[in-house]
Amino acid sequence: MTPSQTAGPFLSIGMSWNVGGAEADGPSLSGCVRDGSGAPVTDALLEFWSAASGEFARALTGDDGCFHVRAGRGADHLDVSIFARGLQQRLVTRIYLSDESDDLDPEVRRRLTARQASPDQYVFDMYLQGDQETVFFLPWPS
Amino acid sequence: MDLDPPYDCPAYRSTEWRAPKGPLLAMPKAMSLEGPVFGPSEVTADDADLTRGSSGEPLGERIIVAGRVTDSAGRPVRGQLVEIWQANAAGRYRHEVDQHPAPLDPNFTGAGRCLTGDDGSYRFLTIKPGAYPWGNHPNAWRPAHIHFSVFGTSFAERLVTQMYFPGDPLLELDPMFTSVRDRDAAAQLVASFDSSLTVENWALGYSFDVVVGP
Repeated sequence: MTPSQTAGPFLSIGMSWNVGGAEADGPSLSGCVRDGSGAPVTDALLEFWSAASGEFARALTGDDGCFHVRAGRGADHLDVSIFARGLQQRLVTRIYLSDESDDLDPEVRRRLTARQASPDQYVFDMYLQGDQETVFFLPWPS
Repeated sequence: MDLDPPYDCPAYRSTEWRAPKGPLLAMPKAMSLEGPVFGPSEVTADDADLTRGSSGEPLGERIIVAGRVTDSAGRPVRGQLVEIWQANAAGRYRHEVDQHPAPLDPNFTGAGRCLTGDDGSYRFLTIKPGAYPWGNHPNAWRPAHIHFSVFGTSFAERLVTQMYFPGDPLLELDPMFTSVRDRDAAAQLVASFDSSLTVENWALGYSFDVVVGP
């Protein structure tokens, strides 16, 4: 297995395909990413994968550390990869857009459920480290 | 996997506030079943040639970088997206954050993409990147490297890594390369000079295979 290395600070040059994910027409998802010191993470790339709809989208964080993306219709949850300088492997998590239950521990699900700001807008902030650290999964199956 | 470098790596200073403290939970099974599928409309043949796209040719050594993407069972990863990005021959990235005193090359952007073939093969034409200084520690220099982003056949097989060049004296001084503790695994990050990829009078060649999955 080829080991991972960080994507580094210049990832926006190379992982540029489908940034914006324009084709999806489902709800919008926004959020802000912060590090363990509370600083915004302004150089991250997030990838959103919906197995249910087969849709994939990318979003970069801006100077405020925030991202905006459109999900596919009917997506109950999005699987997320985060790449950035300072991350030696990607971070993996999942964002739930509804409160249907599945195999996951209910408390973990609750912590990974986005806030619905309006019928078509969801918000999920992420914290790479610290008291509010987001629940992350191992980036590979066991 | 154990072979991956740890999130927390004091020698690589940017990990200080970004490495999760964890613990990380087991990956849900459904994440390892499927992943995005890319069609031929996503890339053009020109996307794999990083020496194109300007009125002139970029400076530096023209190189062919090629290899195969397979999973850990040796099966080819077919029709999947490979993206690369890199500095120019002087070691300067075409990115606003890189302002160190090395010249930009007006004929080089430094990004390319292609889809793997039926046998998992990929091929890029580019120029050999230079090493570049970074602020991690006094007199810190990254070895010459090409960033690789690879999609496998499922969400679980996603990999972003870096390809290094054989015989580079900066490798053993590099916090990122040396944080891959298993030396055999680290050796997988170093490309091989490959005479069969060279084109006489025109380009040298380096072979770099990528294995995705646990």
